[in-house]
Amino acid sequence: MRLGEAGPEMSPEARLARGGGWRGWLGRKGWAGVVIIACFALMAFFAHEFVPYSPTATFPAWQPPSAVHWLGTDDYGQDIFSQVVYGSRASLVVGGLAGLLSGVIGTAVGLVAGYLRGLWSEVLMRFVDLMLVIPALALMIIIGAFLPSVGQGAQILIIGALSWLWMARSIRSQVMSERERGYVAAARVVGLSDGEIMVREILPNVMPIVIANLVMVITAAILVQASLNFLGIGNPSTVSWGSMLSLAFTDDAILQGAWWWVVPPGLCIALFAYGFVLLGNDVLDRYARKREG
Amino acid sequence: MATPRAGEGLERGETLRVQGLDVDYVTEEGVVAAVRDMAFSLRAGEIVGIAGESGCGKSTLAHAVCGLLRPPARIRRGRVELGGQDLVGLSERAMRSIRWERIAIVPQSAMNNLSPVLRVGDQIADAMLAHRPGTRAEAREKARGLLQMVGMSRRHVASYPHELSGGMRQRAVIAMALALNPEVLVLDEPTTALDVIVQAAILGTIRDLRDQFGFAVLLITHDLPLLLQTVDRILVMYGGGLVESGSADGIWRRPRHPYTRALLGAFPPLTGPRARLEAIRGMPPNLLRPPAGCAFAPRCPLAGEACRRQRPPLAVQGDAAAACWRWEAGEGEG
Amino acid sequence: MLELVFDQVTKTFRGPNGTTATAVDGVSFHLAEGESVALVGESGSGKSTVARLATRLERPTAGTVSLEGMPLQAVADLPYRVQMIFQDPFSSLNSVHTVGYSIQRPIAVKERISSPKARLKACQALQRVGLTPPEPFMEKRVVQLSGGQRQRANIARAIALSPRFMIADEPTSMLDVSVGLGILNLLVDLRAEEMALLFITHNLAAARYVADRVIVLYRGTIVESGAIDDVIQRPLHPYTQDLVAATPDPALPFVGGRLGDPETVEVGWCPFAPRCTRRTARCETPILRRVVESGHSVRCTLYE
Repeated sequence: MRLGEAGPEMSPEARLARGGGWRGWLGRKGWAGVVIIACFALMAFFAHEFVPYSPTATFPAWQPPSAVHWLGTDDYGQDIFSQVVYGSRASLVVGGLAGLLSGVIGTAVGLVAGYLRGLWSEVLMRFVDLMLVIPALALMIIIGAFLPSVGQGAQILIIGALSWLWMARSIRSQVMSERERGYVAAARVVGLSDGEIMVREILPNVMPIVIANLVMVITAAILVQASLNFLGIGNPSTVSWGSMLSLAFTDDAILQGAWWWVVPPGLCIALFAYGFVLLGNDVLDRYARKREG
Repeated sequence: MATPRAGEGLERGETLRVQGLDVDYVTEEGVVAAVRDMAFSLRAGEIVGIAGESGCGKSTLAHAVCGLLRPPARIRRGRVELGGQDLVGLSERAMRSIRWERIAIVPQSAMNNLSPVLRVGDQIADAMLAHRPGTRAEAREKARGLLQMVGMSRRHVASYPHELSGGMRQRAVIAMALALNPEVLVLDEPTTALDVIVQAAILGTIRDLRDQFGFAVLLITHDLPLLLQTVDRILVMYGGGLVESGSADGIWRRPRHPYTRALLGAFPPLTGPRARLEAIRGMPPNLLRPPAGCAFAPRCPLAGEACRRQRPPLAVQGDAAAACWRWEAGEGEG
Repeated sequence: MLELVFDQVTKTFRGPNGTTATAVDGVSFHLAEGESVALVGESGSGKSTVARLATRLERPTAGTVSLEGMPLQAVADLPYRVQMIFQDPFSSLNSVHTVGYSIQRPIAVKERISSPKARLKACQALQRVGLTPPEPFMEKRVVQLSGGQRQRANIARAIALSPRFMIADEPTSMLDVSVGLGILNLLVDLRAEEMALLFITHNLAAARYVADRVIVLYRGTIVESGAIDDVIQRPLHPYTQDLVAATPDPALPFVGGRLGDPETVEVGWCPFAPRCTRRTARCETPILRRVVESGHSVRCTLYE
């Protein structure tokens, strides 16, 4: 079809179809995700303001939820509510930073491998394929076992360095289709460098894919961090949702019927990750719709 | 197409008559006046071309004539008469028995909308069986005949669309449109995506078939020189309305409306003196807020006060007509 | 003399299943400074590939493209000597940038100057292509422009780099006629500024409007070339004859019926032989290009 035909004669329909894109950045799902994430962020940031007790202060053990201890106490007599609130910090810091780290690596690898054809692209992607067949969690456990101690910084590095693989693949395929568009050829003809074309011409166009992937990577990082802590890789003195679950498990919380020790941190992990999933899906949906219209 | 209606068709006179047709697009931002006060008729065996640029309403008109408008488009008023029967307001079911059997359309880029997984012959046969009962073998034999009729080989019934060139696919789509021997064939930009040699060949085929079977053709295109060479009568549309109509020869020798003159002057000639041509200045009207007077007035070199105030009626002169207050004033300059 | 030269250039694309397709097959021609040449061919003739080869978007499989005697791959400042206008004005400007950024950025890169200085030059370029006053256009995004305005912005970006050669790849085929004429007039005016133009089109009449010389391309090979009015009035190659006859000209009667469709793709020496009504057995053997008279050459056994 001649594009010139999309004049006034067709624009009413086109305009109706496009109308949704102007009403804000996100849809209802996306905003719900943002609200969930913001609640946890506020909780982490202002933890010391409203937590009734220090997470390490001790009280009578195995208390069920009550007015004094809203979510009861564990087998050391520590207040669960306070632990859950403080635990959000570890998830936020490790999940966020590890997610960002792998986001940067994934975007860079995806852009380069998608834009440059030939040997470079092949080498990069074969490396990614190789890494993808190695179970990442197992690798992290092994690395963790060799290191003398795994603090938050080390956790961030390990998770960040091993979580970008899918993201690189997804961004690469998007960049490969983007590089066939007219503006890329035009940018090459007017003499812009490859680096500039990747970063300033193509990257803004694939930004929604980057954001959606980033959100997924952060989700994964939060879950991996919880898993690592649950498996005992990490600093046991840092309170996190994962380490809480780990302790509850080793100290037979289930046998004791202490559901209040297991359910809150579990719910928090699920809800926090779900917030990111909502946000990521919404960004992707909108991007797909925009491309069709 | 075994029994052509050729002989009787030519004397039958008008087959299609459009009167006072208005089409709106209802959008969030308001009502777009896509077609306004459109009137024309089509005689049996006649090829009429509709010329105009993007947004002039020519495709909308084609869809309105075939009862194919879907929301947000709607017919506000007017009549579309086929053999004396008004098609406006007919139920979709009633329309379905008329469309394709009596008035067939080849929509823009229809040749790219053939199903890629079915053989061309089967697609034609399926469509025929949906309208006329019969056996599959008969339908397929008829498809063979149809393909041969439009200049393809009979063996092409067994071809898949991707095995055919663009021109061949367009011929196949035309064969399908002619399958039930319609009175009127509407072609919306049938050759836009094709090369000129193929375009000329296909239009030659359409003219031959018209001579043979006597159906009327409504040919919509932006290519005015092509219409001047190949059709009997031309309607020129601008801003949703008819600005001029006349015989192809009359429009070529003596265009009346300033828009027709400007449009003719925008096509570089293949022969004759090489002179600089002037493009039409300005932009087409925004049909969300159509101008009060003549739609072309803001871009017209002849426009005066009256042109901006009041919409000119279609002034008929013999078989020619133009909607312009001042066309006589511009005659000398053409 | 400054020249853009194609010497026996062939470009073969590799398909997904090991298939190959030759888009351009042994094409030789030259474009001298200040000259205006039209490259005419239908879809699939390889004319866009020629444009991409001339701007280094593709590398030739065989043969060389050279500028002033130097192979194109070795020309460091190619973007500032050869520029291109693309067919699709809707996708050739990046929608995330303003028009101003898209035009001034290449200038800033070329002249190593700051954005404000480049901005001034970008404004001048917009003025030259008729987008006046330029300031409001600088701030606009691509979606706010009409098709004709976008194509003008594309031209502004190209001429702002002061190239000596301009490749225009079907710059009006996606525009309305009256809008397209404005673009053609702009190209004619640019020529007056001594910019050589390679005007690629499927429309012989538009070619005549813009260019002095024409090269007719069919399935990747040059079948005929010469002065444009010469070729239109006395086409020698059967394909050119069909092309001229099929191009709508209201001054002449319609001759549609006698022309054939392309149907089968047989590989012989002459790519047009399968459609040609005058083919002989000799069309399967190599055909040399023959100069019939000054500047008018044809590649067909009829003229051997």
